[in-house]
Amino acid sequence: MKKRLSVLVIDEDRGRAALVEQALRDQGYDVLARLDTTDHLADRVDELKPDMIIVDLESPDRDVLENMAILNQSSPRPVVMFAEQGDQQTIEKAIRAGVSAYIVDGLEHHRMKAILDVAAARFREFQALRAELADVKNELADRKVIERAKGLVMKHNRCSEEQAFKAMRKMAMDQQKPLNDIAKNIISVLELVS
Amino acid sequence: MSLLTTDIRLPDDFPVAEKSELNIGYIPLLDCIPVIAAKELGFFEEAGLSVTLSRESSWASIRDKVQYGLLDAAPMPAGIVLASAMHLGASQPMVTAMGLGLNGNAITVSATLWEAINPINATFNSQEAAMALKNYLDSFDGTLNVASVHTYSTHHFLLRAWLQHFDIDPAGKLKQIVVPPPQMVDAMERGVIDMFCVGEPWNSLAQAKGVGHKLLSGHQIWENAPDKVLGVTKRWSDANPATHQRLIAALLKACAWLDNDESKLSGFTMLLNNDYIPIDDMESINLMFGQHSFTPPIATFPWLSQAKWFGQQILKVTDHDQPLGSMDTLVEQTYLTDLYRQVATALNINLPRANTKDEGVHTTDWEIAGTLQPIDMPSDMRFR
Repeated sequence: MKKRLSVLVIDEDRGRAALVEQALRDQGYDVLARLDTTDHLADRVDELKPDMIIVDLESPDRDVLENMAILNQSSPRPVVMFAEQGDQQTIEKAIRAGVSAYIVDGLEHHRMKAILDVAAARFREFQALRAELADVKNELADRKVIERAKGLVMKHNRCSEEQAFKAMRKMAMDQQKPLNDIAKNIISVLELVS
Repeated sequence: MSLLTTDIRLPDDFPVAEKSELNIGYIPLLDCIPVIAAKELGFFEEAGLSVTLSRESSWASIRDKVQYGLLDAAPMPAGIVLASAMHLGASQPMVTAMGLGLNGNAITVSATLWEAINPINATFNSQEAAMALKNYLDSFDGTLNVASVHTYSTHHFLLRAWLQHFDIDPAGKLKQIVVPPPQMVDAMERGVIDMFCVGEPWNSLAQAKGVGHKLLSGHQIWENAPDKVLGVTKRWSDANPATHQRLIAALLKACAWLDNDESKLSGFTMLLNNDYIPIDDMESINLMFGQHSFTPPIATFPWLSQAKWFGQQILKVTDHDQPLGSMDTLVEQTYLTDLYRQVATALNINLPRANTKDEGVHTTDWEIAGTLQPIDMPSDMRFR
């Protein structure tokens, strides 16, 4: 039986690192550690001797790993060095997902590919979750703005909630602007006069 | 004689760009000014290019994104381009047709180390600085952490060249590490590093904050040393020759604009004010300390003689004897002098007649032959 591959995950985003770590464990890999940024990264890598390092493409620590790879023959090397015909696509997909990797010389390409694919999939999933969260937050913020504007209109016009909302909707239709913009305008105007 | 930027424009029949929307990456350093100025002053637009700039966090990330087309081009240390051509750290060979500046680097030591090696606060030349460091190391039992920004960066090469020239073993009591430029000052403040070599404004910031003290400017190690170049992959350059030339034209115009202290100062100030470089206490920084020069063609021509020096430094740090094939072939395939010549000719600006020049032997200003008129060259001595 082949030795289980050991992977080190470096990512300042702890949530995403946890997601990648769990996915790799599920696939039967040894995850040696999950690090966010550290002053002694080079020492940690020396100590842990991972077969592969998965690192956020945007991590400022990348150049530290580069230095190790150049100066120390036994240190993991950047994955872009190993891009042969068959791997090009895998690596490109990983990079587009924001994943970079360092691997030890001699690691079979199909094994590297499997780990890269898992990491890239989790990075994309995390990206989608984050985008969704941002959407929800925006929607909530929009709703709060509209509620506040409605309250101001009710107070100013001494009308019911329904009448206030209808008035705002009419303005939005007349001016062909999103309700949210109308609400923001109302707030800025009515807060000045009140 | 200084160039007027208004005179620099491509002829109307210049080939149309194969690709007109480009992503260009940069690392927050004063010497990234040519790409920022070309964007802010509309020179890219004038050359028919729509450019999006993207701030990147490491040279490795710039290299990988350029390798895989997420970025079209980026200013990068010449060493990274040449290393990729030697298949070190990359699979796609990169090329450059343009230099993007001289000088701009310095070596800074921590305030504690400065006090220890120079208690009387003397002004050092490169030899005195080396002797002071050597004396300190001789009586010191531990190791000093010395940071540069990338193993193939000009800073790392300058630092090593200086140490070795004065018989200090760069691997003895000095531990060479890498720290990204924007984290340098912070790492020194926390006591993680004792000495660093980095581009401006990070040396000046360390000094302004009292965290460190400049030991030597890069200028004192090699006067008017080349540093960043415009890096693209060979594949990209082959597929987009007209785009590449238009890009060079826009950047040449930016470099011509930067050919006086007033423009340089306003350019650097713009970098800091418009958040291209994320630091807040810029008032205390001497923006002109780096003695940057962007003057075409001295600072912009892709000199083969400089490529060769960088190639040799790469061989030294990686313990290689020779690149595959010869160094001459490697530099000729990587530094696209013909492409630069085509653009400069189309813009009708002066060009050197030769692709190489003597490096590191001129104590005073000198002159070389140019296609339109002689070119005034600045001194380029090492170890002043």
